[in-house]
Amino acid sequence: MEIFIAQLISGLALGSIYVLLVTGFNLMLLVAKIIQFAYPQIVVVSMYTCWWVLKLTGNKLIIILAGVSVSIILSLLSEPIFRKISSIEGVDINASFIASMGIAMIMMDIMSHSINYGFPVAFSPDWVGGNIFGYGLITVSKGQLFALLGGIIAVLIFFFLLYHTNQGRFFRAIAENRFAACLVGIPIIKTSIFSYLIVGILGGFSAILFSMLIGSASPWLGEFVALKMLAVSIVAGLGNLQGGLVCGLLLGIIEAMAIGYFSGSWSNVIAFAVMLIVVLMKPGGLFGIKI
Amino acid sequence: MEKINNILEICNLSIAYGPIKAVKEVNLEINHGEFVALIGANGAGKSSLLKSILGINKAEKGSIFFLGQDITRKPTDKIVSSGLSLIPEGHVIFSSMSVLENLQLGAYQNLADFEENLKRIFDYFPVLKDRSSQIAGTLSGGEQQMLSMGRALMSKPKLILVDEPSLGLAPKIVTDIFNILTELNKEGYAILLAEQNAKKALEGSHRCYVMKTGEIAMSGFSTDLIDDPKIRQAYLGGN
Amino acid sequence: MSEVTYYFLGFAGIYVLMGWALYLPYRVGQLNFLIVACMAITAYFGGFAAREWGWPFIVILIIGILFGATIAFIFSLAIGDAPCFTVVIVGLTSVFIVKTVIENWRTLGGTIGFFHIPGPNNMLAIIYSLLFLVGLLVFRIDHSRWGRAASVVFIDRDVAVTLGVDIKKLGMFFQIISCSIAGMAGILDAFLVKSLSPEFFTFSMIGYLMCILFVGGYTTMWGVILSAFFLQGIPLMFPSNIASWRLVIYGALLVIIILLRPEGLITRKMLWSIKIKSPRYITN
Ligand SMILES: Nc1ncnc2c1ncn2[C@@H]1O[C@H](COP(=O)(O)OP(=O)(O)OP(=O)(O)O)[C@@H](O)[C@H]1O
Ligand SMILES: [Mg+2]
Repeated sequence: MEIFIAQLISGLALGSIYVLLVTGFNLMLLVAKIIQFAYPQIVVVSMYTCWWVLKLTGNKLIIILAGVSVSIILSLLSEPIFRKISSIEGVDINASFIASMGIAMIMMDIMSHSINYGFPVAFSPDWVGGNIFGYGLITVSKGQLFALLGGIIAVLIFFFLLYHTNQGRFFRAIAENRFAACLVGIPIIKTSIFSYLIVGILGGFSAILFSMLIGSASPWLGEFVALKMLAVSIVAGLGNLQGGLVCGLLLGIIEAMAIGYFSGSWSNVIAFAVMLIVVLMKPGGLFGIKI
Repeated sequence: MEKINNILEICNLSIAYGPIKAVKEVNLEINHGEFVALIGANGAGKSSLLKSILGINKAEKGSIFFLGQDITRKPTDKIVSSGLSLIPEGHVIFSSMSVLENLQLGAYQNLADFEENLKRIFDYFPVLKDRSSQIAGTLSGGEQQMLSMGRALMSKPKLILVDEPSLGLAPKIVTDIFNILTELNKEGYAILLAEQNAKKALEGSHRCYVMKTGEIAMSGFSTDLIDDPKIRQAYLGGN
Repeated sequence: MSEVTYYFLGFAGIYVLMGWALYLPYRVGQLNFLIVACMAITAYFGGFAAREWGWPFIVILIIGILFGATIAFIFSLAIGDAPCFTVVIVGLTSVFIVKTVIENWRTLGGTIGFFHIPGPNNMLAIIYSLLFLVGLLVFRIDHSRWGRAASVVFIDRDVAVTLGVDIKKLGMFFQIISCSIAGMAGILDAFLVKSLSPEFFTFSMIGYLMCILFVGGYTTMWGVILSAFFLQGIPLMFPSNIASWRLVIYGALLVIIILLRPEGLITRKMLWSIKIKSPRYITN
């Protein structure tokens, strides 16, 4: 039972980061109409930035700002590429997937060549923090607490923005009916750029929370996370924000449970196998495709 | 200063979808306060023309002036904010949002006197007031058309482009919608109405353009055209 | 023949096969990465059967092909008519599951790899005769009723359904052929290299295959041949310090090709203009 509770906590912490990622991914899909497969790589680059700045200064605020700004900059930099691709006649959403796969390969290779000789980087214990609560096997680390709280707060703010502000309504309008959004005079390109900004911010926060939670980063972390992100969004139903919330948390919990009850390297296999089975049984996603 | 008489002027406008020439060298003019109809058979190019006025289709050649300003290459949001509004064919609404949210989105370019505007719309379309919290996709076809019209009016346009409002609606509702259009026109809105229901369109409008395979085949005062034998033959079902 | 040329030709041939394996299901708009999983499984099976049980090459080859077909049949019962990204995720998760299983399987050499696979010494003749046969098959399929139906599905699924195309059957057909080719490629790979490593079957392999298909051109079967040789040659053309940035080069090529020539280097139009008869398609 204690293991169960302990893993539940760590699963929720991990899951809330997946939720952030999937939410950003879905926003791109809904507003900008692209499959941003390189998004997790942006997050990993942002983690590397945090690691690098952390070596220079101990000031947490500067580190956070650096991480978030790198993520925002990369996200905005990718915007013109994707806009150009979407404007080409006769291409569909697959083109953005292919291009973002290319971008992901480039970022991954640069990280594995140039940073820390390609070895994984570890964050200082000062950043990661130790346990702040312990009761038998049940412990809560600082990283877990931050990931959980940070994830919940970020998602709440995001959904508030989406459902209770004008800008959010424009996002939903474009997602639902681009033509009608055009007719009522919503500036499509400007709003779309704004969505890249939001996604950049979400990515930066996930990078910070993720680095606190797992305390390390590696060039090939991005591909695993990308796979999980894509899988969660498909299991939930592409573009389904609410479904993404549920499935992101579930994946975190499944993974944590697998770590708790099986040996290390099998946890990913179990998580992937569960998702594979769900996708095979429900190819359209559990909650329905929303694009 | 020269007084600009017309609210909209289209000069030699051509539109092409790849090899298909949908609109060829069209000239068209609408004066302030005028109700102009644009009739033509399926595929004549009416919708293409209206969409290109709003900048949704890019014009291949020619130019469009609205209130004396060249809007041919402007982005749609700028055109809408300058006072043009299109009610498209079919029921183009945000179907998973509430009626109220649809109307709020219509006010994107004119958030200033939202409440007052909303009240005005509800006066025209009382049914929308009763349904304001209903999800738009669950409205009936006629109600959806009214929502689409209401939403277009929320931006306080000076010229309303209407594309086949009668599409797929019962005669009773079609009559209602035409009455509302006439009423709007009386209040000073200029209207350009594309319609296949030539009889209704000619009865309601001041002037009319007849479109045929992308070209303006004929134009004139509606009262004259209604008696024209060729028009009677082609669009009003014989004598 | 030098060793470099031998492996260059051998790998290029295998990647043409894999390129076609990716090309066929993309005719109906599905990116079937299951082929990488099939290739990994049959490669390890082939290596193991040859070294430990001493099975002859030909038997192993046939089993490899049948294995690919069986796996694809089972999966395609579920995802025969699934949307592109569902197929993508099924493929990707399978690849990672297979890779992790191999890494943790002591008998298969784990992360270290599997070595000393006995077998025919000159594989090129075998690879290229099989390549020719598969090429004929792909050509036949492209020019058949199935091929034409696939073009309609690619452009518009709804129209295809109203025309009476059985999308599911079509998808199943392409996935099965595709995975059989991949199963064959896996066996050929094991016998060409004579050693195997799980590192080979990963994300970068998937990226590489995407590059082969989309740089070469996904609208005809010929683009794959061009780009498989070209991309396989990149590490040979450049000094090794540049060639080690292979993934950057491939990634950049993918982005550039989508931006500048979204249909890839060899397009259908191009074939028409040089009068190579290509299947008739519904013009879009
Ligand atoms: N997006 C498009 N791509 C290609 N061709 C188009 C497109 N939109 C319209 N067309 C073609 O342009 C021509 C004019 O179409 P348009 O919709 O303007 O006609 P319409 O007069 O509005 O007809 P209807 O009364 O049936 O609505 C038609 O031949 C149509 O097939
Ligand atoms: Mg029309």
